[in-house]
Amino acid sequence: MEVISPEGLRQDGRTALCLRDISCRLGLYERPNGSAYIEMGNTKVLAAVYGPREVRSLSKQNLDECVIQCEMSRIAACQGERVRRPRDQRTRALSLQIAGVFHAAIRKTKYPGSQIDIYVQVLQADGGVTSACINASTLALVHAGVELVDYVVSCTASINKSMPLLDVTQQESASGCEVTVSILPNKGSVVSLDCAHTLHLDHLDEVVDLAMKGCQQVYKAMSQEVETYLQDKHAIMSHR
Amino acid sequence: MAACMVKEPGLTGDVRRVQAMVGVQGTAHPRLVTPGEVISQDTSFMRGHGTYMEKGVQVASVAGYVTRVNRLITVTPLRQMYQGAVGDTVVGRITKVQTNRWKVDVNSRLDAELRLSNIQLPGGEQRRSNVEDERDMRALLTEGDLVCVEVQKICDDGLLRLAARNIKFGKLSQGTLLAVSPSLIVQDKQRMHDLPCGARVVFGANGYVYITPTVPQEQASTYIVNFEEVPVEVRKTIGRLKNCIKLLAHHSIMISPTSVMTAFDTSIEQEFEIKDLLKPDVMQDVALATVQSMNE
Repeated sequence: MEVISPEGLRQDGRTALCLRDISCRLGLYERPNGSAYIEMGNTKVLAAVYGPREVRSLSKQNLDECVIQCEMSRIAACQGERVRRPRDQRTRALSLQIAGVFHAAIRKTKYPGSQIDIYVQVLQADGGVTSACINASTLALVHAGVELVDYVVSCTASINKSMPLLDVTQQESASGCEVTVSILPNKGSVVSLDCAHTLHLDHLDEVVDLAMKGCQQVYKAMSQEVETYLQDKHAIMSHR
Repeated sequence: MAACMVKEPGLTGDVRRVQAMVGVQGTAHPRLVTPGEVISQDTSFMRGHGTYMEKGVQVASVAGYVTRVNRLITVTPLRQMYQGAVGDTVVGRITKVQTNRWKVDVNSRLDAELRLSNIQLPGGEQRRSNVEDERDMRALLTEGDLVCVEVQKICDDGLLRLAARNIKFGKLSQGTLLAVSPSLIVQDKQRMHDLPCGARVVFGANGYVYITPTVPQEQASTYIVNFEEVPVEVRKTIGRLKNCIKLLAHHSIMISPTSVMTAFDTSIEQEFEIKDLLKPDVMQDVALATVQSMNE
């Protein structure tokens, strides 16, 4: 199976530099402080934020800034084959990575002595899972009203036979590599960079640049949804 | 301006319909910002909550609307934890019993503290608390109890100090608790309302709303809970009130005694069963009707 057909189209009909369709929603649940859902093509992720609230275990309490914890899990039906354990070593590693990303974005000094919990659940995984998790968490944090330096936007990119690809699916990354980049779009700074499988050093620059461009497009879609949500909710709330 | 009556499935569908009703008011459009967006390049503005300064530029850190008071710019997010204001009446749940204080969960970023010296001790007369009182703290309030208290002071790090020095504050007896976003509770001097339908509602400023059957005013000690069985009619009223408040919160309509009573009366007029009020389409109908009758 060719990743890119001779006409220049991929398996799902996109061109090499085309992003998948993004659809997102803010505020699905009432109990968590913030919640969001994002779909990037076939990858579907749900995120909920609890906090800032009192720390559960005093040993972890930091009196200068807040503690950020993340827990990621996958449902059994998220991939082609039934997932044995919703939480395993891989999800634990990804949870720590996601928490680490938000250390750069959340204004921690505003919440000393408190704890912010991010819970992410992957409903369907088709490549770009880490990206979708980070994007969903950002939206949930924005919904919760947690102070952020900027959005954290994430996107994947890859390379196939010297042809850079944007936003890869599971199938495409299995035969090549998957580079996940997270940036702060208004500052232009990279928050995290992760590569799955192997990538030649010569191709690194162009793949990362492509991913960063993709991130800006994702940011547009996400901020559009947040603005629509704000306008809807604000109109009602300003009515006494 | 008519609201469209086409049934639109989906999450944003119901919000847009209620918004269509509200749009008649024509309020001025404030500026809405999202995190990372530049608010102003002017360094002479003071930065308030929801903003931060970077390289001489003022940037928003939350998604909300910009308010400007003279030289102070703040951004208020739509949903926020309860920040606390001195004098507010709040409803809270005891989480810990410590040496001479209780830790209370008040929907804020830190658990508030209620000191033994700040409550009215049983026995009626004012006296200093002694060692026996400290040992008997659990008899007064234990983990999981609900209390209605007042915010006495806000410490530097955001910790709230609570007090229950009045007869109207203290442990809450039988009833039901409901948590909504604090930004939906209307500012009101009086938080406890005896509604005409036969229930008493405490609208905690922190978003915790407590509904109980109406009790007679005289109560010698507020720390003994009356476990007398509540009649079915009163239970039904309380259930209906709770569902009404839930649906108002779901549609982001401000919660006040008037709006709650309007929703309650509408649901009785249109003969909805109490359990039907939990269905999304019924919630939408009652919310629209409430907004409509409040506009008149």
